[in-house]
Amino acid sequence: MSEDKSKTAKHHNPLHVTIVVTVVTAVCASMLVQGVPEKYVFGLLLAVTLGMLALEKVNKAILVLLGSGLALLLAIWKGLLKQSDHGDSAHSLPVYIGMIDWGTIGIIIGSTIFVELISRGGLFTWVAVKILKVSRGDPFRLMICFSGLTVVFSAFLNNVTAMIIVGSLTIVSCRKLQLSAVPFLLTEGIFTNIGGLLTLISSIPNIIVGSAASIPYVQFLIISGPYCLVAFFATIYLARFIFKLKPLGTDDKRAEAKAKVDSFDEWETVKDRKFFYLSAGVLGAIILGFAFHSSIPILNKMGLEVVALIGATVMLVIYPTDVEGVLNEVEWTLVLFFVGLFTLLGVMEHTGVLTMIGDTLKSPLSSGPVQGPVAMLWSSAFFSGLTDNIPLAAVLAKVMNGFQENFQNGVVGYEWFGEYGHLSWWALIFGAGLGGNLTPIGSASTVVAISILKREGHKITFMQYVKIGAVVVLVQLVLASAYLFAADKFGIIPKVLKTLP
Amino acid sequence: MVSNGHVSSLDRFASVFNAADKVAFNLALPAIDKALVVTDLAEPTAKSYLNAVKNFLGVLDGVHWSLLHGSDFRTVKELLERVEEHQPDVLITYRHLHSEAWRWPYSLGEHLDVLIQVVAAPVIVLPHPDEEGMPEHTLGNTDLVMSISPHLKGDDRLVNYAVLFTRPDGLLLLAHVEDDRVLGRYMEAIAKIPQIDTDTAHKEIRRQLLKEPGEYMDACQAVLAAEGLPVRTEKLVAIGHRLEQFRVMIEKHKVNLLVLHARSGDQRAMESLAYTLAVEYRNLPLLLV
Repeated sequence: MSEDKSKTAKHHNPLHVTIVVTVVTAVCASMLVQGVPEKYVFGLLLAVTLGMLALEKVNKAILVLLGSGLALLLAIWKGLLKQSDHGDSAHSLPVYIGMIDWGTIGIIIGSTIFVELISRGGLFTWVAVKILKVSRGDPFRLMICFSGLTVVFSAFLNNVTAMIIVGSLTIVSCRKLQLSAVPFLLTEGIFTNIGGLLTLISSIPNIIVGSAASIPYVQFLIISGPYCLVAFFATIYLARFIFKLKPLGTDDKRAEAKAKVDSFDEWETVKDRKFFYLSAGVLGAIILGFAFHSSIPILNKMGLEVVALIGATVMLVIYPTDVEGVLNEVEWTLVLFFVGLFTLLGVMEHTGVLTMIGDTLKSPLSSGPVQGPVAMLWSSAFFSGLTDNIPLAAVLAKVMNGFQENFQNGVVGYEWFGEYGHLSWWALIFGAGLGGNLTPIGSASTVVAISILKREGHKITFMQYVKIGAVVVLVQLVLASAYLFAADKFGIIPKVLKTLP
Repeated sequence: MVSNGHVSSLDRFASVFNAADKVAFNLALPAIDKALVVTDLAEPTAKSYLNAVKNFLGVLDGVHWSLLHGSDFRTVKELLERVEEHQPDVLITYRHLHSEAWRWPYSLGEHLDVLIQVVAAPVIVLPHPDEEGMPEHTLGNTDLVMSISPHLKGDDRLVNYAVLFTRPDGLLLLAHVEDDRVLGRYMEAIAKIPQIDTDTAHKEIRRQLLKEPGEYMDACQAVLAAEGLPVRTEKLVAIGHRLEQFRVMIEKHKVNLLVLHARSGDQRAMESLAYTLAVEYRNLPLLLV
């Protein structure tokens, strides 16, 4: 689901972090004292925080907690935040509590728990071995099967977990079939990002942008599904061309390869069949819950996170043997990162920084019904390829929200949003999702794929990857551009994605 | 760089998939068209010995039999030349050809030592014709065959030979013994590594070591049953002192023919387990493949 690059970061130097925090605090405080407009001071703070995030020298949770803490202190010191701005004053909640998108955090916690438990039940490994057998050991069929598996797994799982499951099976089966794992693992790294586009909860940027744009689960799937299918086949044939994969030449070789993959026993990956069937049933119910959330009485009065949390609770009830161990699997780095990020962006909203960014971006994004969405798609893809796509998606979602509110409130100068703003939302979703394939550091799953290859003795350099990734991203973005306008022309993407309360 | 968490997850899933990869048994019974019986006996006695061998190896029905007697060769070089001329698919002989050393149960004799290592065909080693005090079941038939190996899993060649030499409706014992001394040494090392849970490692390694040959034997049984071969099979999987355990199994089951590997890769010395059993069990027919 998420792009968690924090796990790949090295340990930071405490002295360096202390110096940076002290200097930034001193500079920002003195600027405020000297009367510099708040939006510039807090804009500087946001730029420093995002810049340091891009450098990946410090754990991202620590970084945004520092940034948001400092932003909160400065904003409250200058009286820029009021209790009524956010939260529920009747219950005396602190102002920053209301800034946090608890729906996103609920989905992350809930889905991590139920996915971990379903994984322990052996469902994912069982499916993986079944799919391996479908390939009959033929290299090209194997690539189609593993790529399809990666897309489906990354639609339901964290992208890194999907990469680890499919990657480990790839290594084991390639050893057995005496094939190089390089084409398969690199392609799987790319496919995690396509799978991450499939549903509203497949990746964190989807959750953030989808929630901000109020896109329902089924509508998200209807719009992104056809593109994922097109991108899947295009990428498969591109990979076949790039890696020069050839099918097995003789009947004997085909029979030998089939015998090798048939020797895998999918049931060996399942320890308890009863729990296996139960977990498969719960997963089915959760998917139905997400899909029909808006039609289910009572549930439709709450957010999607409730479905994830109910699923997690049910799974914990039927798997009582290691509750503590399962809860430890929750990605607390990601949860704290979001607490910090949402707080930071909340402060930025109130200090005018997001309006300032919006004013800057308004010109290219409102440049025309084709140019605007294309600018959003390609620029968000480019920046996602260079850095973490989560803060990018979060900042741009806030900015887009501002545009939408201005349009719906009839603010002059925002009429363009009514015409093609809906395409810009989708351009952001596609760009943030696909850009990760551009460089080997663009997405955590690609980092994992390359690391697995390194462990297996295949070193892939930055430029070796970029030569492949750039071609793939180029093709995928051209397809995405064409798809968005075609889908719009055929009325698949509704004009208004959000209604104001 | 991936984090330790990623590496551990990767290893966890790789272990799951490795465990799911079952070693299959491929039934491919070797073709035996020519058998050569090598003796150091005079011609009439040798012919009588050949008849006893044919009787014992009734499974080799329709095979072309050849016989070397004492005057056909004297030195190892001459023996190898005769074998080269015959190009047999299987050799049948006994210990200490052209020697009186068979009375001292401490070696195999120079001819057999070289034959086993040089000739590609499998060698059946029978008790010496002058050996006395052989048990009743010796040289009767091959109703009860036992294949033994320190690494039976995936050893299709050994099992295929064992199947071929088991009489119809006979019993094939598939035996595997894990050496507890080797396991013990690893456990001692693991006990000194804080990152590894010693109890779990001991339990799981032991379980896995016994599970794998057992699964392979199951695969052998399934294939033989599916192919309709009239051979019954029985699994013998144990952990302990390897030689002691094999001794117990051999003596308990009154085996007619023991099938085991004599050669290992390109090493010149005979496999230690095969050599030990070949020296000790002088009354027991051995098929060294």
